[in-house]
Parts: sequence; C-alpha cells; structure tokens
Amino acid sequence: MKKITKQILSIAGLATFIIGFDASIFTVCTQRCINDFSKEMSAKSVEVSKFLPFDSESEIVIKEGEKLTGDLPVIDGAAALFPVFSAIAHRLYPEESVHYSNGEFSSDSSLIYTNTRGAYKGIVDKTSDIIFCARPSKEQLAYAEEKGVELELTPIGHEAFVFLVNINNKVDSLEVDEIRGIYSGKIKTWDKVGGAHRLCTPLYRNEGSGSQTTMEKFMNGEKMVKGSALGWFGQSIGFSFRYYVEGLNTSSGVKMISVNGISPNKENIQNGTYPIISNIYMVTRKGDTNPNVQKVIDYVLSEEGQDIVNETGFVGL
Amino acid sequence: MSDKKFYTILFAVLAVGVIATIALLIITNHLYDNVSMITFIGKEIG
Repeated sequence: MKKITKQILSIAGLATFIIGFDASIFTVCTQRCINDFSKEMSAKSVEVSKFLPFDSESEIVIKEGEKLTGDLPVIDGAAALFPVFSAIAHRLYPEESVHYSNGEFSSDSSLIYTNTRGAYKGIVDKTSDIIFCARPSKEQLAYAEEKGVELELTPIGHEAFVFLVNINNKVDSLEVDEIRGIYSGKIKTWDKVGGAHRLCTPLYRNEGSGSQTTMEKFMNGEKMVKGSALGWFGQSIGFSFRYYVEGLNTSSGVKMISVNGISPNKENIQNGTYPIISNIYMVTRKGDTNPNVQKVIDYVLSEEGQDIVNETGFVGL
Repeated sequence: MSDKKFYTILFAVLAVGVIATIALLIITNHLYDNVSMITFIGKEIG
C-alpha cells in the first residue's frame, strides 16, 4: 500500500473513531435529559398503569361517593402527584370520563398526565383546567402572563425537598449552607463536608421541572454552577421530593441525607422541623367559570380529600 | 504527503476530537430526568 493511502486511512480512521465515540456519549447522555413533554419521559417518571383511577389493581387510595356531573375539568399534573390526582379522579369523576389505552390518555379524557412542564403549558393553553404541581417557575409564570392567564395556587399539602447521594457516600447530613456551597461551586470536594476526598458532582433537572424550580428557590439567588467534565469521576448529589424517592422510585443504591441534622421524614415535615418544606398545589385559572373547578378544590381541601393526600404518602395541610 | 503535514493533520483531527468530546461532556453532564438522576446516583461507582 502506498504511503499516502496509509496516511489518508489513518486520518480517516481517527476521525471515524472520534465521531463514533462522541456520538455514543451524546446518545447515552441525552437519554438522561430527555424532554419532559415526551411520552417516553412521562412514562418513565411514574408507572402510570400502577395508579390508574379505575383499574382493579390500582395502587391509589380509594374513596367512594357521589360523582360530579356536567362539564368536568380536565385534571393533569406532576409525576410525583399522579397517585393523588388519579385518586381524586376516581372519587369525583365517572369512569367513562377517563380514557386510557396503549399507555396514554386520549385527548378527550378528563384525566391526563403530561408532567410538570406539560401541565403548566396545558393549563395556560386551556388543554387542562386543574393541575397538581409544585410552584411554577419564573418562565412558566411569564408564559401565563404573556397569554393573559392568571394562575391561582391553592396549597393542598406539604412535602420535603430532599437531597440524594449514593448509599456508599460517607456523608449522611449537610447544612443548608453546605448544600448551597456545593451547588454554587464554593465547595468542590466531599472531604470539606466530612466525606471522601472526591469531587462533588451536583446533578440538575431540566428547566421548568418542579424540582429544578424548587432548587432554584432554595439557592436563594446564588448562581448554580454547571458541572465540569471531570464531574463524571466524582461523587454526585441530586435532589427530588421525598415521596418521589421513597414512594415512587425507590433505589437501594440511594439515600436521602438529613439537612441541618434533620431527617426528611413525615414526622419532621408535620412538625415543621425539616428545613426545606415545599407546598404542593392545585393550580387553576383565575376566573374559570366552570362550577366543577371549585367543587374539586373544595373536595381536595375537605377532610376526605386530605385523607387521600395523607394516605398516598404526602403530608396534608 | 510529507510526514510533517501528515502528523499536523492527524494532530489537528485529534485536537478537534478532544475539544468536541469535552464540550459534549460539559453540555450533557449533570442534566437528568427524575428517574435517571436516581438511577445514576444509585449506580455510582463507589
């Protein structure tokens, strides 16, 4: 083979290897930050089929009583709250108003599930009428304002915002300032907070997700740093809501850490000692004239509605 | 092609590749959905 041919093949081979290598990284990594709107993401966030409102095998809290009639508000919401609003739909809506097949709700169903980002877009665009979510992000509020919609937030319960590390991480508790330090880049290694001498690798959610919005609020104006490429070799820390980790996606390899020495359990949420407690909300459009919207709100705030919130695993008002 | 030109091109391709790889790692690192964040932390090499 001529020298020039070998040289060209060497260059082409190296280029092909690099392109393939980068393509693999891109494919693997972007699967992690898949869009919240996609059906794949919705399906991954919560096993909807385990919490369907009218399935005999459903794991939702079952309450029976008189159903609503007339124009039923379309209910949607966040992944972690799906078991709650599915139970509300079971209690208040007739079975024939919910249409679910082949892993998705149809457009004429009175119960749908598009997760937080989809739900906030949907209530503004009027494809849904009541959503169950964490507080909206600035962008979601701006979108509502742009469309001339005023959102009304009705608290229905409390939930702990929790931080997660690998079960082998020596750290069991962090102070609020230490967590902010890790996410702002001021604390770079775990040994500064009682752990191993390894890089801190803070993980993030997509913009507009309920937990990312709560995290931004928790940072209290401090800018969060984007991770370095070396972060792949460190020990990570992530965040979520307690029920999502404890009730919906348990993993033996993950532990929730205490904050300021307080464990994020139900008792500490109820007595208010856990330092990062968020409200969970029913969100409606201000001025919605459908009388059933208020009936759903009244029911969720009633003793029986609060039982659903509590028995599902959240902490009622 | 002279050896000098060959190695210059090879090095340039390698440099572009390394820069692209680092850029990809920075761009895609640390952004997770609910499930993969928990999965990633749970499967972390201790």
